[in-house]
Amino acid sequence: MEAVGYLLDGFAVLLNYENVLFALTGVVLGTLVGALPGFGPSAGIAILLPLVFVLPPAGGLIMMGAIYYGAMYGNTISAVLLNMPGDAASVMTAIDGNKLTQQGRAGAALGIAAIASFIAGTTSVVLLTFVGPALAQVAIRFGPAEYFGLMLVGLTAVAGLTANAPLKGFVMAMLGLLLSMIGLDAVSYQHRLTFGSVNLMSGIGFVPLIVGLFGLAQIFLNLESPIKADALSAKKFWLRDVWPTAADWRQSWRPIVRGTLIGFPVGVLPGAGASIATFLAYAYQKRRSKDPDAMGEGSIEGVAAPEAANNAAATGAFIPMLALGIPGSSTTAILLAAIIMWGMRPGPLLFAQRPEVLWPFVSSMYIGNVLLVIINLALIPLFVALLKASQNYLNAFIGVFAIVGVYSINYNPFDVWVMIGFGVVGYILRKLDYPLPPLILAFVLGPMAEESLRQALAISGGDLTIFVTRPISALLLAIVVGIVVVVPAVRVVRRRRRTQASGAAT
Amino acid sequence: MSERGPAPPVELKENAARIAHVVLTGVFIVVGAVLLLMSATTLRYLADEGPGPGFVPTWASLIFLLGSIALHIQSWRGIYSKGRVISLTLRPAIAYVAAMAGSILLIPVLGLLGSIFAFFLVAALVVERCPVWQGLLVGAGLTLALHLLFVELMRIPLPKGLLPLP
Repeated sequence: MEAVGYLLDGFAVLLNYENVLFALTGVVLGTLVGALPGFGPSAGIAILLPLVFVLPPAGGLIMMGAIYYGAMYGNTISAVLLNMPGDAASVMTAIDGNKLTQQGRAGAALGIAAIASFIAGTTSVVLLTFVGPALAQVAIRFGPAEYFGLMLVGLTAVAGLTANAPLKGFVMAMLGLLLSMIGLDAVSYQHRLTFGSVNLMSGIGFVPLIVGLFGLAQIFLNLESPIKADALSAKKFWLRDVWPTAADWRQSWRPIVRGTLIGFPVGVLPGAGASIATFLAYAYQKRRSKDPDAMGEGSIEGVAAPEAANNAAATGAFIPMLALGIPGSSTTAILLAAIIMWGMRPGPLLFAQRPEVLWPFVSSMYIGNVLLVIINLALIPLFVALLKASQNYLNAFIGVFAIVGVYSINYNPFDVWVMIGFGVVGYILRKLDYPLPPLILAFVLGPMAEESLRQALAISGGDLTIFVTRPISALLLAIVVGIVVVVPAVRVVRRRRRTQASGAAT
Repeated sequence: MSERGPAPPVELKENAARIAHVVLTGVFIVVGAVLLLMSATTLRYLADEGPGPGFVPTWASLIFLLGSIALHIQSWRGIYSKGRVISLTLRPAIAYVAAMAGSILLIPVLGLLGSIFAFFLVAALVVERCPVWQGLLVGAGLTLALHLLFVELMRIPLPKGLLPLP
């Protein structure tokens, strides 16, 4: 019940015109950027990150959270209208959503998606309000050895579970770790991996890296295939088109509940993420549906279930990020890095030491969900009109925003060169199917993991057994070993069995 | 977009895709080896109070190097390129990068907003092939909007270069 008190304090801070304006601006901007074809929440937040840093911590965090929600819904708009999901979590929505668009029911698909997002998001924020502080209370007893183990679990989970080829995931994680080491060592002040460059003494900037890898690389991919905007040009949207019918409601409420209950716990697990939640929710809904054959051919259930799971998982992912300081996806890694850049350390102490920043942020999630459903239901026609009008200039607009945003952080052209360089690197990596989330996570967690490792070994006098003699640390390391050794072994065995079975069949 | 349409893509079929993977992992090996050498020879591995500044970079670059070698071997065997076609349309991306690079180099001369306007024109007119008058109008509007947002509203001064702006 203490949490309720803190939450009400958070609302008291939030409900001044400035913070509400930040939340509103974040939702609108996030939706606009997320609606850009190919741009998922990660790229959307990356592009808008420079804008957020000029704000004070509480306001900036509120705006960033709002951008996240907005970008997720904006992603749904491009998935439904253009069949161009910006991330894996929207793939399932695109299947039925785009079919509904082709049947002339795009408005209903977008309307149900907005409402499913609202219900699932709000339910999950309520759960976060109580689960987050409870987890933080447990984690407050963690020492450096446990934190090191936690970070290793987060890294190996994302590298080993999300990548199609785990080896690629681990190599990307090591690359991210090495990139994070560039610059001055925090303890000895020795230059590391700078190759004598003055510009590299302060390390690789997070914002140029992320804008390059996600934003610029996506532009290069977009330049390859011009936006096929037939759906945008063919229809005028009106407000009445997006409000669901009574039949849509009857079909949707159960998928929304199921999606929420599946998405939230999956989102809490590092490495699992919203994409797995949406696949599970869609598959389960198909099994429970009264008309399973309709799913995949333009069924409103096929939009409601994955959208609810997506938002529930996205909110659930905040719990390990805020309570433990461990992001479970590239998007929460970006949010975590932004929090660190504001001089705060996510983790259990954030609840204890900075409640004046944290609880307004949690409160803003309630407000953000309300704003999202109101704005998106009311403004879908406007968003579609803007996309239609600007489709030829989208890539140029994003490039402009990227240059100005990155340059204005330090007024150093080197940051823009870094952004361009990582844009090219990100394009090549995506073309050759190398996953970026492990790289981002390792870049963000690397310095903290190293700090925890050095503290743990300083406490133990250099004795490595500290990591196995402390029970929680030992358990976490066992999980790491399981992910690194057992999961790939199981995959190899299954692949061999499939090969043998198909060989026997022929 | 103009009636000419986008540049035709270059398709890297299985063998070319295999070579692309081999080259990339080869670059990883070189990078890993160089970083390992740097961290092992120029950074202290151990310090009085525990691991030194070279401890994590040494292990990270060693694991990166070993992982890259394994990927390189798998790439030679064609594991990642089997049945795959990689489609590349490089000309627009190269033009875009060149426009960005040019705009950075022009900042001391044109200032940030002038460089942005130049970049936008190249991106919109050359890369996206939008109508000239439309591109000029939109570019001017965008530059003005950025001036109002950054300079007037957020009070963030932007470099003016050699232009005689107030």
